[in-house]
Order: sequence, then C-alpha cells, then structure tokens
Amino acid sequence: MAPLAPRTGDAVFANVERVNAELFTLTYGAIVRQLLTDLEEVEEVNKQLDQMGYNIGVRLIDEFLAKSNVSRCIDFRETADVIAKVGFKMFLGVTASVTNWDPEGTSCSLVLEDNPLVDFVELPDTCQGLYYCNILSGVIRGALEMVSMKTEVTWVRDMLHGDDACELRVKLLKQVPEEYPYKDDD
Amino acid sequence: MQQSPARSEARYSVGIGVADSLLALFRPRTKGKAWIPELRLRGRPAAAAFATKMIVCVAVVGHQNNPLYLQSFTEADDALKLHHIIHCSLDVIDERINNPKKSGPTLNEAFLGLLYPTENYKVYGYLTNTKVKFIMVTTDLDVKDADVRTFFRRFHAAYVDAVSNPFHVPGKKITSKAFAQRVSSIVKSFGSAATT
Repeated sequence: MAPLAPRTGDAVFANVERVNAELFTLTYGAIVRQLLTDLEEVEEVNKQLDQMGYNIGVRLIDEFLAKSNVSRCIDFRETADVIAKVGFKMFLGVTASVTNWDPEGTSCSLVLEDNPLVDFVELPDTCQGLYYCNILSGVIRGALEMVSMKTEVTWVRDMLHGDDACELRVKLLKQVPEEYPYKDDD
Repeated sequence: MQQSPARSEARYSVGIGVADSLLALFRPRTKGKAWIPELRLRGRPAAAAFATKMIVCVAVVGHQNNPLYLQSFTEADDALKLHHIIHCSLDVIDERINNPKKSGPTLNEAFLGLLYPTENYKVYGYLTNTKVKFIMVTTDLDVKDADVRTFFRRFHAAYVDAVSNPFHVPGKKITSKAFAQRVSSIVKSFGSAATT
C-alpha cells in the first residue's frame, strides 16, 4: 500500500514520456498571462483556471489509471496517498506529502515543497488575489469526480504569496456510488 | 586604573604620548562615522579604507538603449553621475558593435571588456545575443578579467530568470524583487577571493 506507492511513482515517471520543465513552466505562464489579459478580473481568472483544470482532470484520470496500474483504493486516505505519491510524480515530476488529516479522515492537506509551475514567477501587485496554480485544484477535483468522489479543493498556502510551500486542502464531500442507467431486474 | 595617584599620573603622561601617535594615524571620517583605525593600512589614503573591490553601479539596457534596470550600490549621492557614466558608455558599446574588432577570438563576443576608464571608475560592458547590454561600474583599481567575466555570467543568469517571469513585459523595466536581491548578492560576492 503506502510503501509500494513511492516506488511505483518513480517507476511510472521513468516510463512515461517527459517534456522539458521550462517549456511547461513558460507555457503555463503564457496561459495565465493570456487569461489575465482576456478576462481582466482576477476572480474570473481563478474560476477559469479551475474550470480548465476540471476539464483536464476528467480526462487525466483515465490515463493515470491506465499507466500506473494502481489497485482500487480502500478509503480516502489511500486515495490521497496515491494522488500525492504517484499522481503528482507522474505528471509534474515532484512528490507531494499528505498532512493534517482531520479526525473523520475526510479532509487532508497536500503539500508541495517544489512546484514546477511557479518557477521564475513573481506576482505583480495588481494580481495579488490570483491563485496562480488553480489549475491543480481543478485537476484534482475533476479526476476524483470521475471515480465517484465529490471533493472540494482549496488553497491554504501559496509560494507566490510568500509562503514556503504550496498547500492544497482536499475535502471529500461525498462518495457518489456508481449509478447504472438500467435496472438489473427485468 | 586603580593604582596610586602618582603612578597613575605617570601612566597617564605616557598614555598621552601613545595616544598622540595613535591619533596621528586615526583620521576622522566625514558624515560622523566611527573612526576606522588605519594601523594596518599605513600610508594609504582614506578612501582606500573602503573595500577596494567595489561595484558602485550596475545597469541593464535594452536593445533600443532604453534602461531596464539601474542600481547603484554606494551611499554617495553621485548616483546621477554614475547614471551619466553609464549613458556615455552606451556610445562606446554602439561603436564596438558597429566596428567589430576583427583581431582576437570572436568566440566570446558577449563580454566587451573595459569600455573606458574615467577618473577613479572603470566601466565594463557585456552584450547578450538579444542586444541587451549589461554595464558595470567599479571603483576597483586592479580588477581581474576573470572576476568580471564571472560577475557577468552570474548576472546574465539572474537576468534570464527575471525575464522568464510571465508577468514581466519585455521592454519594460525589471521590477522583480528577487532579481534585485540576487544582483545585490552577486555584487557583494564580486571579487570575494581577494577582498581585504
């Protein structure tokens, strides 16, 4: 379970195709800049990034499950571990750590010490309310929704706002059981 | 000094003699700063009591000779004079670009070298491939070429990182605080191998 995941993350990362990190960073920066120019409102940009992340997440989950061969997770704790160790490693090349579990086990924090999206970036004074990496929260939300978990993802700490790491708070709202479009009997 | 009065008197008179010779070596600084003992720097003029390898000013100038970053590192208020020196050195750079010296290796065209020495300053230039110029003014009397090249290399790296910021508009001034901090630390470590 947990001891297996870190090795799986590295092994998967070694097998997938990789792209230059600076290209990725600069492309993402260009996207955010363009959104700011088009939408002009920081809140709108945050929402749009989240929406973009959601669209990515619903497609990403299939690739993730296909490439990483992880088994079905028993509970949300295992889900969070898999996201942090295997998911982030596979797609961003960095591992996150899972901390601050609440007593019910439905809410946790994913902490990224090192975030390739924010290399070289400094927020200007006019955009202080911008959640630059909001796409990540959308990705997690979208991916988990596709495996029947409704979640809410918020930012606790952000490196661009002066903190030392990026911290995402993931809260499981409810587990939606799979619905079959037809009844089994008759 | 709790000896008997006679002895302390004698000591006191000796003390004055010693103190006089010491005072001859101490020189009061302007602006009310503390006296810096020059016992180890006998014979050197007061100005050299500062760090001898000191960069007073760095500048980044765009390809249309527009200033992108200007930072002076002295408390003296001749910052305007330094800016003027930099402005004049732009002419020298333009000359060098238009009439490239065919002699010598053309491998490292980036480093332009000593542009021109004025009074007690030396001005060095560095040209990037995008025609962005870095200019450095130093009060150093004998600066090593290798030190300057190292300085410019580090400065270039800091500049590239600052420009990679998606919120930086190319052609506008560099407003990044991280860049300013990096430049300060690069300047501080300039020639650190041989600082007094």
